[in-house]
Amino acid sequence: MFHEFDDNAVFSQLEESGYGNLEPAISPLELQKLCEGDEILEQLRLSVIKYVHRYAHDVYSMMIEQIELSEKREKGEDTQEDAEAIHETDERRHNLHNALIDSINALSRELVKKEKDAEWMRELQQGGRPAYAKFALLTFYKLHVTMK
Amino acid sequence: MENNTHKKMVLRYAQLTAKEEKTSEEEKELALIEDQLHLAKETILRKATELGLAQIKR
Repeated sequence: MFHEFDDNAVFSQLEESGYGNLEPAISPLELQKLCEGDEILEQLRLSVIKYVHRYAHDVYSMMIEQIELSEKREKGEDTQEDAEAIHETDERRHNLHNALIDSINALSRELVKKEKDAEWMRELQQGGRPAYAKFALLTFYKLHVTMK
Repeated sequence: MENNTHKKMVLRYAQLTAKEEKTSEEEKELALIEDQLHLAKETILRKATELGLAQIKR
């Protein structure tokens, strides 16, 4: 579960800094400004936002299921169905992770094509899958605490 | 409050917030969680984000 993140250093810095200021590679507001006035960029940005929400939803759903499974295990009440259910949730999360990466990369390519700032993508490209996951959760957080 | 119960409420809050369309019952549940935790939206989502980041790394 979440095996693709093993031994990755992307989150070490966050932990060491106490998660710091929880800033994504680019803020949702800055991203919105970059895309304003361009229909294609705006569509691609909205697609990123959609997958950010879906990915966050599945990560948090999975964490709830994991806690509930752990509680059942402690009581000896866990079943094969519970294990299968959590496996299915993890598969869905994995597929959503791929869709999220595709949506962010599509936006990045279009920004480059339109000669707009895509420097923020460097952090994601260098960090691989975990960096995209981190970007999604931090963007989700920022969207709901700073943008109404 | 028991640790797991607290954690599940924080995660449930984030899970509901992430839903693209919420029912009125879910909106009420969000408000109820804020009341039960005695925390503001930003604080609950910050905690959920920290938990999520730690989980993804694991």
